[in-house]
Amino acid sequence: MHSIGFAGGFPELFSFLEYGFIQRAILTGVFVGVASGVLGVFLVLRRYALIGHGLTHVAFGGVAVGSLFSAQPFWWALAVTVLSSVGILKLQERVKMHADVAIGIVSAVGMAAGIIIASLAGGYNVDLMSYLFGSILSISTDEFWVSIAVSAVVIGFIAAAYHDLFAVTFDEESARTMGVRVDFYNYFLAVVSAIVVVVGMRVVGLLLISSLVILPAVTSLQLSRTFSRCLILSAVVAVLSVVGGIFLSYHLRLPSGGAIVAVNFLLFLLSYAYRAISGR
Amino acid sequence: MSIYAHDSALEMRRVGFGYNAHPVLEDITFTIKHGDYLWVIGPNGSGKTTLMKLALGIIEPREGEIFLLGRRLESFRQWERVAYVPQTVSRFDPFFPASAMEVAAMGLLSEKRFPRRLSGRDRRRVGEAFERVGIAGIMKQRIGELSGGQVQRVYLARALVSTPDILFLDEPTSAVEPGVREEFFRVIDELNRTGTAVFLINHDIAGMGIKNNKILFINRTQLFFGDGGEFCVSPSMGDYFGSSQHIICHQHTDD
Repeated sequence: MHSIGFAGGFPELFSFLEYGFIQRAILTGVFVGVASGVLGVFLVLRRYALIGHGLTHVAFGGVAVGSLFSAQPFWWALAVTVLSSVGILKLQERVKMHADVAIGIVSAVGMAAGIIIASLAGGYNVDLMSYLFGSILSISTDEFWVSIAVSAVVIGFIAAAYHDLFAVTFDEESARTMGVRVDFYNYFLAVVSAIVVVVGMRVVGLLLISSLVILPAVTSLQLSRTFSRCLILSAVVAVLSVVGGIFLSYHLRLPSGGAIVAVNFLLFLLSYAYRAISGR
Repeated sequence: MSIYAHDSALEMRRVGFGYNAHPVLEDITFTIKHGDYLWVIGPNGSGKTTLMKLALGIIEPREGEIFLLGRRLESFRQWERVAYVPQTVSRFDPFFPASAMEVAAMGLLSEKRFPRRLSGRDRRRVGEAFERVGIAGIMKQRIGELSGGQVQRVYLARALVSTPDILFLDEPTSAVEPGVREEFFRVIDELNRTGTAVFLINHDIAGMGIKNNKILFINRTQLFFGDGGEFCVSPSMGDYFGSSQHIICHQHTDD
């Protein structure tokens, strides 16, 4: 990339875009941001916002198991998290348990398993920490491609099933009478949530990924009057947060995960203030 | 066992439903034909809404068989022939980000196959449905900003975008302003005259003529099923209903 020859310091602020690692980070952030922003709207409206947070604990367990057996804990974390997410739904259906309780149980067990396994493996290593706090700036080429591919598939599926997901989110019972396969989409959203958590753990870290799911959606909900715009705005907010966070992180030498969440929260405050002032 | 029953719009055979040991509905057996207008009545908590949800496959019966448009409900797939106007009381989040137009357009989904898409022509059909129920002006409003009565009319528009063979309505005018109520039922009557079977739960009986309707009167179990006229001369119903039978049947003579 070539910086455009404006005089003064402005182009310098963006000269960091020339670095390959920054380009990878931003591209990953854009894809993961769109996926989590769009998914977040469905989860927040369905009162499932905390599933992302619960699944991070499970993903932690998955990473711990994975780092025992291979140098690529990503796939282990993905498998464990998807299974657990489906498990949360099964607990709800079979044991007639409320979502928050089911999420609480599965996340605690996942986290406990992670701690035990990590200690058996000889304590926490630096690698595990990078999953907890995220390190989008140090993302490897493999992780970069996997994140982009997985996010693209998620975005593609959500786009294809847009009307079905809208109907299920608005009113499950009516959706059933429109021939929408409600049970299928419940599982679909559970699996997609797990995928987004695992892909997002490299971006903002497991401790902060739920913010990438919840905050853009809530920001967008302040401003949106139609469902289609709500999804688009949520994706835009998520991308702005990731890109803005990387920008701040680079220039102010802040941890990237924290900076991304800070920008995210700032955008939420702005949207809230706008709504309060405009009186909508 | 054949999956086809005879050519009925809706048939229930000895249907029962309950939660654990607690029975909610028992031994419901009736058939309505294409073009019939069924009015389901009964006191609060008598199981009317449960009965409608059973007929729509939202919940599964504990016993008995249900046939929708001639097909066993478990294998029923022709949802484009069915429309449903649910109760609006606390149905959705008032902050839900959807326009009235988006909500009504859902009524077209059942005739689409995956991946479902709406065309410009579909949008025009939705616009026509809004005009039919007299709310063309609120299409672009957020659904949560509308009054209860307006939401009920949006749901009716959603039911009208496809021309259903059977229309289910659960207390569809509970929040509709009195002046609009007649107009609301006129639209339903019109649809019924063109052959759509109607399954109506309506608590508010004042002003409802029974016309040539079928009546299903339930209170956890089936107390009466038959023509409106029969219902009016049924002495057992007179005992049970007292003055309400009079109110319902008095309307009959006015029509």
